[in-house]
Amino acid sequence: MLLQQIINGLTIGGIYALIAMGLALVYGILRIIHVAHAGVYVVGAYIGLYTFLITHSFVLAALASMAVGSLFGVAVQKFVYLPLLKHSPIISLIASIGVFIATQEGVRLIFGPYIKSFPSGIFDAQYHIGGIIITQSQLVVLVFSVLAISAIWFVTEKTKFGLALKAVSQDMDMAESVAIDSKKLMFLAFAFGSAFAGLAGLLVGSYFNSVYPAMGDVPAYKSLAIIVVGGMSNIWGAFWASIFIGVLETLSIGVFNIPLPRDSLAFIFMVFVLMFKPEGIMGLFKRN
Amino acid sequence: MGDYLTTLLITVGIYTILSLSLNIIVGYAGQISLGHAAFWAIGAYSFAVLTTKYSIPFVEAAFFSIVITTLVGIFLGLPSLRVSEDFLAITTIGINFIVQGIFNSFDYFGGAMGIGNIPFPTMHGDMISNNTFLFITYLLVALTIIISYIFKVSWAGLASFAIKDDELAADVSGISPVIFKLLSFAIGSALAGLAGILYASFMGFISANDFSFPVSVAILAMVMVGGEGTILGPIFGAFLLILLPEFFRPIHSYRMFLYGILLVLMMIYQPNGFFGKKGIVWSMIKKS
Repeated sequence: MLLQQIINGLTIGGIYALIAMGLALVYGILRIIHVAHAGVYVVGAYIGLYTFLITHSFVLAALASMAVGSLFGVAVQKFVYLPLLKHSPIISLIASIGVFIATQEGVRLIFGPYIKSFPSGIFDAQYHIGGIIITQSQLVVLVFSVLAISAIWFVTEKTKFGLALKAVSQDMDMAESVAIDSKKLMFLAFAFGSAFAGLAGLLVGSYFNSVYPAMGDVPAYKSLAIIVVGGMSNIWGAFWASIFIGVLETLSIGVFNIPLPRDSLAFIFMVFVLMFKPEGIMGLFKRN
Repeated sequence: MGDYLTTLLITVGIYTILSLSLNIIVGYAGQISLGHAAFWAIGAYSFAVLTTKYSIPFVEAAFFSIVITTLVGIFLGLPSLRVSEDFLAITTIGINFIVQGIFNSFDYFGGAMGIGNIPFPTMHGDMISNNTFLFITYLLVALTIIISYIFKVSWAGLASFAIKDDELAADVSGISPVIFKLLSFAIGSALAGLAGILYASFMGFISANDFSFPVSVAILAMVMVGGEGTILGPIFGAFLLILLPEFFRPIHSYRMFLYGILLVLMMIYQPNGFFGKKGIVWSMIKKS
């Protein structure tokens, strides 16, 4: 039972990680609280669903979600965030919330307000491994999350692009002085981070078998709590925080029966982190 | 006056108090708050619980509700002393979700059913008319404007503006950021509590969903669209954002979409709001 809940928690945590790591990446580069990241996630879910309905290939659907998510993220960066860089962060934050609202509503106007689902029976198989039940949809989510997170690990830790990202996130002026093109890097960071948010949308849509316009509401704000716990611009902090909060949520509902709504748990945990470990987060990530 | 118009004007009045009260926190002291609906909720719920559960008379209940909201406001303002602005934005989002979660899940606060039968003000034993309620609402709006004005031109207001511009410089000039940040949170939340009492008493029924996060976004949008730090701006913002949807009733389903687009365009083209520096309305007034 406990192990089963932990596996379920890891599945959810993996999806959180795909969203939160992109968010941490963007925060590191632009110092913007990118609420519209969850808009990318909604768009990714719809594109993935329709690609799947047409091609019947989940891999193609995943690639389409990532490609369109990427384009959408880059568009938001170019048309909304770049003109606002010189203003205070609250301006970008409100613009970001505006983009998020407009995206969700645009999706609702185009695709309708109702829940859309994948064709029945595609991921219905179940695997029994030593008393634990893993559904096929869960397996799909786990495999894709592991692949995607490995890709993120490889790109951020093993390539020059990853190194340049770290440099810009620590000190943009200094990075520019050693010939890192920060404009180009912002573009690439958004393209890269948004692809995984799009993929996360498709994975959540297939896992819960429902795609609907408001599906981004909860991830939009929960992912913010996750990156605070992880240390804002710290990609791997965001990863561990996602896994931890995914498992914590599942356990608190499935095992401990905590009466609080599951979606506020991440924020309660965040408050504890801010209260008891402020020096770990504060000193490192205060705006310069 | 028709019931529809009276209700609409009372709603506008309540939101004017809310946006002016948030303006004291955001516009004067420069502390981002995306959780103002939480203070509004605490005012409304305190009043509802005191009157329905403990049968405390109207005026006493209103007084205690404001005291409670002020104290909670100071307590919830404490994070602003330790965290920088991005953290504060996310923390206040978290406060909104947690407060809403608590009201929504504990039976003491009516749970998901909310609290009903909240008393309407009476005079000589009879319930006052809606028009009298409207009159009282606008008396309180006037009081809020006076408080905003006095605070703005007083030394306390100047001190707050100094902290907003440069906290370190203010601190070394002998202005304590602790006192003035908490003072702005205290006044801002007290006025939000007042708006909560008006709302609870006028509606007669409240539930946690009335105070959800999008409401906080809307209140902040009123402040920013009007012009933070000004007094005319938030009033204008409240009127605009409440009345605009009423004019757009024929295209009701595009309402939220347009709202999102409006937020983005405002932030890009009028980042200081209509009445702020370089705001179009303010420049027209200055020209004439």
